[in-house]
Amino acid sequence: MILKDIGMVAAPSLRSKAYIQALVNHKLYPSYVILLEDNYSNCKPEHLLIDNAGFYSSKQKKHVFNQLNNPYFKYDENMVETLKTHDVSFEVCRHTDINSKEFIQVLKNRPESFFIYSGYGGTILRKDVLSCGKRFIHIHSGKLPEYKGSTTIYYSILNEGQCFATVFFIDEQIDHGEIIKIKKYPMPTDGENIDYVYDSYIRSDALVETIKEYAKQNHFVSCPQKGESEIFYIIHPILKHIAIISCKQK
Amino acid sequence: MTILYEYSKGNRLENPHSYMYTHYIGEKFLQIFLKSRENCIKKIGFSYNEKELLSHIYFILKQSISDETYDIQGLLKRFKNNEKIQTKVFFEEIALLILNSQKKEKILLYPLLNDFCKKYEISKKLFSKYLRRDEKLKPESKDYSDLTIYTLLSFCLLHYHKCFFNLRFLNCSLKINDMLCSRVTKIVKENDLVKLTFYANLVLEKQIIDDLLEIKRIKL
Repeated sequence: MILKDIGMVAAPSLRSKAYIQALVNHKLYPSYVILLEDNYSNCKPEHLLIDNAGFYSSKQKKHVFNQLNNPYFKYDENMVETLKTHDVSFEVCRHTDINSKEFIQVLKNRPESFFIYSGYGGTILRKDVLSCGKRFIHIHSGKLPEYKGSTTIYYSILNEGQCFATVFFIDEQIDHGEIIKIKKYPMPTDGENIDYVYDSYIRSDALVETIKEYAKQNHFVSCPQKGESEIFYIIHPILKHIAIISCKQK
Repeated sequence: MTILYEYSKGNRLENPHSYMYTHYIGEKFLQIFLKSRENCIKKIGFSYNEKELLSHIYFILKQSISDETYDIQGLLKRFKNNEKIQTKVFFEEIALLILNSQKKEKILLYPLLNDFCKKYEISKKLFSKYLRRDEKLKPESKDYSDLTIYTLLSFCLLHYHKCFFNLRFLNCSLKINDMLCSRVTKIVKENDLVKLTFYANLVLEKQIIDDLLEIKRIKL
């Protein structure tokens, strides 16, 4: 099914691969995909790992790379090839700053009303892009409104022994927009691959369920977030280790 | 090959770690962390039990605070009234209240601690003066070198976590303690309040991590 009113903005990342593959595997085809990079054809999976300023030794990189083998999505499948194989229209956009005037114009030129957003991590969509007439759908790996911010999947494992993904419309505040869907997931059996695999998987799964419901109803049902909540900041490696080891213990 | 606890390597006040996408090493990492902290505890050279330690800290704080009228409501009022905040004095008062209050009163300190927790998480620095305007803390000084304010905030966050299990506060405290451990050679030359609170933080932090490991049934 071609989703006439839904496009996607995708940065080169494992998350974007997980999203696109999950959608096409369920025969849900975005009308148009804007790829935020110009080197997709050369982009090898290991380049998609986010390096930590030289912290990873080559042995560690190899170890992380080995973690990418997973039952959820093909980490080594080229995104352009996936799109071509499934006849999904796309463009490679050279304006990689989604808040730039040029990029906003690219969006304005598109007829789709909704864009699934899988941009670069840490980028905040500013007022100009949010008021360009499109609505952006984001999937957060935490239960909203309770778990806003960064690395909430680990905090959720420590606090509740389970994981969540929340699909919502982006607004100007962090993880604050109207919620479309919240889905609960078990803790992964292998916590080591959370950053690169399980986090992407649960987001992509919640996205597919949301889009399936949209396809049935031809509209999104959303509601504003209720209640006060606080923002979580990047988890300390000790707490992260305890969370990961607790997954392995299960 | 010995793996160093890199989060306390060098001078983490001037070169803070971003903590982004930290690598999973395994249970060995928890041992490396505990060993690194143990070394810092040894360098401070105290051997007080918890009661003695807190009693010493209380005594120093009490001497330092000249205003006899301080209380939680007064502190909250000043925080809301957009007054200038002398960070060290402010944290001394919070620490004293943490040591000297019932649980139902301690919980009222949450907004104060939360604002400073955010400040540290974002900038990895705490300045000697702040002004609270439009419900936001803005630095009123460029001086972020006073280690007392870091040890005191970490002290308050850890004690609050101990009482209410707040992982956000524990997270921030772990990062502050990483930074302080990177400055341990400077801390040993500091005044008693800095040394005692730093020592108390590492002792309590170890208890908290041990408890968390037990809850999660992780044996090292």
